[in-house]
Amino acid sequence: MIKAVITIVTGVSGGLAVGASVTAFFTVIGVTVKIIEWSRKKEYTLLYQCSIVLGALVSCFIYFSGLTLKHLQIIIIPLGFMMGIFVGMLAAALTETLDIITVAAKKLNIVRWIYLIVVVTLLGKVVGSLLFFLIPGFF
Amino acid sequence: MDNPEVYFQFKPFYKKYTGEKALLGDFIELAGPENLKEKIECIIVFPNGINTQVRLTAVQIVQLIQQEVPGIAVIPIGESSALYEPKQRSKENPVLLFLRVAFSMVLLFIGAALAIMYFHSDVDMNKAHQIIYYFITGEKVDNPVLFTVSYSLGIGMGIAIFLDIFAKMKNKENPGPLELEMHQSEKELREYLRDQEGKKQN
Repeated sequence: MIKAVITIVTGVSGGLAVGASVTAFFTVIGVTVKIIEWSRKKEYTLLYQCSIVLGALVSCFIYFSGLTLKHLQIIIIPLGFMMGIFVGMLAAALTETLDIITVAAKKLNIVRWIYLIVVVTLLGKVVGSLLFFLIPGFF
Repeated sequence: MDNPEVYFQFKPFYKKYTGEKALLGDFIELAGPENLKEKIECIIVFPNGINTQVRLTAVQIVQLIQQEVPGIAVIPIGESSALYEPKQRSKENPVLLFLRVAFSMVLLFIGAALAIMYFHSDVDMNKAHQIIYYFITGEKVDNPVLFTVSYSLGIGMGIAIFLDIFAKMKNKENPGPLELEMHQSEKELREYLRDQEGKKQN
């Protein structure tokens, strides 16, 4: 009994910490803000918050339950694409990335070409990701 | 009759090239009686122009104006000093420019590729993909190619969305996060130089 209580308390507090920090990370880094701006409907903040919570819950369920829906190959491509978009936004939002582009452009005195640099960084990300997954033995 | 009053504030940027005659109107914006304004704006500060960075303080400006128009009340608004840099007439070597651009492109391309690989192996992305693939299709696959390829393309899309690349193609007015970052670091640099210059003079 006491073991169960301790386990539950530990689990809940661990979940609290992880959930809060992950959400704080997304918010501070500006990804959620960017997406909400993109939708041009700031009034629905509550809806967006609920989606974040639901997404986290569902992903936990998928990760730990081992259940399967079976034969839904049709949504694989759009799903992968959307997940990629989110991770890409995260990668772009990291201050390191922004800083590196800024510093590189300024040090090399090519501020005019900055969007070229962004496109190249973007292609680098895509190619790196493809290499990682497609070349066997990388992971 | 009361003494006339003028208000001034520093302009954010200096627009003339090196060696061009620098007038007071290039450095400050004025508000006051129209006839005085013109006279003051034409005061010559540097007859030979400026070649390096120059720091101007509000006190210097007040003095300059009062020399020209005795008995005038000069009131500064905003910052008490500013740093100005002349524009350089740039004759850039196109070959060097091309090399620089090419070099940084290669560097960033490889760096970005490596960084995303680091990230994927750090968070064990493949395992997560396997679990998602199993959840959806019910097949246990070592490498769900369909999923990972579309995911990889999505990464590029995400970066483009975040940095407003599509908006950039349409209109160049709105600043994206990148412009803001550039502006921020430029401002910090200018502020630092201004304060440093002030330390030297005192």
